[in-house]
Amino acid sequence: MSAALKTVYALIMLFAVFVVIGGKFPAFGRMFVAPEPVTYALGDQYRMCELDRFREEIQVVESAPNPPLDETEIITLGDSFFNSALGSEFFANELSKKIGLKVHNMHTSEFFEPQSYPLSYLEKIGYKEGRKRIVVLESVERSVLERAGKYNTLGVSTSNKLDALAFKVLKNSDVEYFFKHNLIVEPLGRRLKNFRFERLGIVDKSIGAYSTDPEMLFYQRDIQFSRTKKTEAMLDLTADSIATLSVTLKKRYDIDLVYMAIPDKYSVYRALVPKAEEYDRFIPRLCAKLSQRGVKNLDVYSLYSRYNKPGMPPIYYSSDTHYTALGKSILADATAELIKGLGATAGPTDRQAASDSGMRR
Amino acid sequence: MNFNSIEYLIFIPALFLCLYLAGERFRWLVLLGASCYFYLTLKHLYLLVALVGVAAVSYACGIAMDKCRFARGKSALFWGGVTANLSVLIGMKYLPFLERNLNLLLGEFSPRLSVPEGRLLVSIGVSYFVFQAVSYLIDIYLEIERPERHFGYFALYLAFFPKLLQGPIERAGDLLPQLKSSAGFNQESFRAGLLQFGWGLFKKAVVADRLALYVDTVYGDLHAYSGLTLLVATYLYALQLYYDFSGYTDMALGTARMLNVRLTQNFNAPYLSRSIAEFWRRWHISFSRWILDYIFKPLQMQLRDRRNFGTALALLVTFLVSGIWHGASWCFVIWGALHGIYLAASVFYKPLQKKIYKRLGLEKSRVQQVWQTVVTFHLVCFAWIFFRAASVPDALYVVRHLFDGASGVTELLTAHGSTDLAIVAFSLPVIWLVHLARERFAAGRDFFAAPALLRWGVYLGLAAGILFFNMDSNAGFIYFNF
Repeated sequence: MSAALKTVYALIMLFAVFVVIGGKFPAFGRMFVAPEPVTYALGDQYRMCELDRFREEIQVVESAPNPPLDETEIITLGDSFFNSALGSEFFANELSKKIGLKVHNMHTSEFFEPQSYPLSYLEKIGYKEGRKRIVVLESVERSVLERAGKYNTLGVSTSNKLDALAFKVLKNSDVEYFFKHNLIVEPLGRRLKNFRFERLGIVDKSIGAYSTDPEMLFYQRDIQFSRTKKTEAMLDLTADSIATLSVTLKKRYDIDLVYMAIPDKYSVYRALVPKAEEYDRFIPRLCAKLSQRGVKNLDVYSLYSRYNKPGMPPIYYSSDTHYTALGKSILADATAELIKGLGATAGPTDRQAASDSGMRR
Repeated sequence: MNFNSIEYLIFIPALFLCLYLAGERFRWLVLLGASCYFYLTLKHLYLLVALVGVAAVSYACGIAMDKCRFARGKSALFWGGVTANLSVLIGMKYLPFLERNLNLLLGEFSPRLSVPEGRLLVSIGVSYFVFQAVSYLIDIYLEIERPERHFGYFALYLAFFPKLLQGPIERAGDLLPQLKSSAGFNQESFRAGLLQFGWGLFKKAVVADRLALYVDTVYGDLHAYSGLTLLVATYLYALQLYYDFSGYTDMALGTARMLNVRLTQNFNAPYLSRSIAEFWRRWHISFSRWILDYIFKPLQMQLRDRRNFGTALALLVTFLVSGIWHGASWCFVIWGALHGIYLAASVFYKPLQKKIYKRLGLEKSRVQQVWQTVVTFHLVCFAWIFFRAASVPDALYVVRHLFDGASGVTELLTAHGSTDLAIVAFSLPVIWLVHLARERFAAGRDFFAAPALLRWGVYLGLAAGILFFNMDSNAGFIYFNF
């Protein structure tokens, strides 16, 4: 074996060690990674594909502190839509401003997203029935069917302790991140991705479609969900599950449920994609079934459709899965209206008073 | 950890560094540690516990059988070991399926009758190392092999990471001597292995994952399609499965070769087979050999008095077991049964087939060869419908609607843009040409003796193909599920 080849092998092995150390020891790794922007964020879909054409700098707003649960009668519970501070404060803070009441956002940064499952989450935090409350439960459209199937099962968020430990110890996403984003690989990788896009029209598989006028990226899972046939029986099952959750929350914790499915960006802006199939009206159909079952809900798709007109500012970021400040504000307005209609007022209310004021169905 | 992941690209050079630092004496220890780590990255601790359990039981039974002087004692140890190993497999892979079906059956008698259903466990790799452990015990029992005295080497034989998750299913006699040999780093092996790994990655990341776009679109929403679209999706699935699995195998064999270990070839252009029997000699070869040696042959011996009927029955049972091995679902049972029926029928049909070809004057002609290849391919594709469909009703839907018109094919093929279609259309002949070249020039050493310009052209072409045309998907391999 020649000395040159030996040197190449040695360099590759050393690079592998460098990547492992850089990934596992962030203090060391940070010295070799381009610094993250402080005043703005890059869209999650941009991060998936890293195509310069779709790069946009999104303002991250510092949200006011989350008020303690004891001081609030309105709770928000949901996925990344409710925990996004892009363009404006968290949804709970925006809602609070609109309704003039404190709103507590139930959130945990744990991987298993327990906040998506109210019964499991309330059990996990040891929530006791006390003050009558309203919970605004949100789910992104593509996860509605899957999550609804688990709403009435306790413990969906808890995993085997040993497996969780193994997951923590053996997770290599940090090493993978460092490999992709270190100062040596990152510029090469980004150039390669842009070359593939500009010359061959290839984008990352996680981006299922895109439009260039206006620029807009669409998440593959959104498109996949949109193309999946949702039968009436499936919608009935989903609505039943949410209705059961609503009854259980009321019985067990004296909590009123307000449910909303936030449309995938693809559902709202699919007209930008050539040959896109027609929307199957999943959210309006589900909302109709929920109303039939007496579950308070918000048809966010129909709401957003009213604002999705030519010349109007976008409701979703072009390179991110989530809504813009405008989309969040429109939703907060409509939620505030709905909650006011339910009779939520400032100050403590007991179960009887709430019942008298018509908060029960 | 997938072979097509960044994690793996870091893992391999890091492993070589560890091997270099540890030296020859502790090579087995480093490889065993690396294999355990590799398995643990699936993030299910119980998988490693099962592996260690199977290794310990098989090791102990192997040594005890060797020492035992009494036939009955030896037999008891053998059956004890096999039962214990198979219990692990059944417990992890089949118990929920058995409980579910038992409950369905009990429900017919009374709604109150039921057994509690257990949690479905992830069982990636279990069926492979259990089959290896069972073959080891059989070989010791039949005195074909001597038991391994060093537990570390024996555990490494079961756990050796390149073949841990998806095979090939290796025999102790083939693998253990290589793991024990002191042959360290070998430049020729390394570059041959690297090239084979790259070739496997190309098949997986450029072709199989791209074919999945079309297959998943149709099989993910079957009832929206019919006729030719279903047929095309089924053909594409046949290709996807082959490039996915053979791509994985090339990566496994390539990794092992880099470590100076030769694993069994698992594929040999299976879709060119002229009969189902030949297909099984070319598809998942290590598995076919296993079921042939340890299930079919003993069964055939038992049933030899019944002549052709005995052989047919043995084939049917063997392939039913093969179906069940692939997964706890009725779809796999039907898939296995179909292959069993094909083979059992051929036992009776073969003499008649010969006569027909003779009478038509087609015997040993090109036409006969092409016809047989086409028929075999379609029989295999028909069975793949049950392999791919999510449920038996879904598979039956495909079967019933295969010939319902020709609409929707263009939409399917253009749904993901022309680039993907062009890449697939270009890659398939390239793979075919490489296959021909490998066959004709016996690849390996001959290739590395070729002029530098040709070699570097291939290296750069392969690297460029992977870098520019890969799917960025880091998708898992289909055979992980089995």
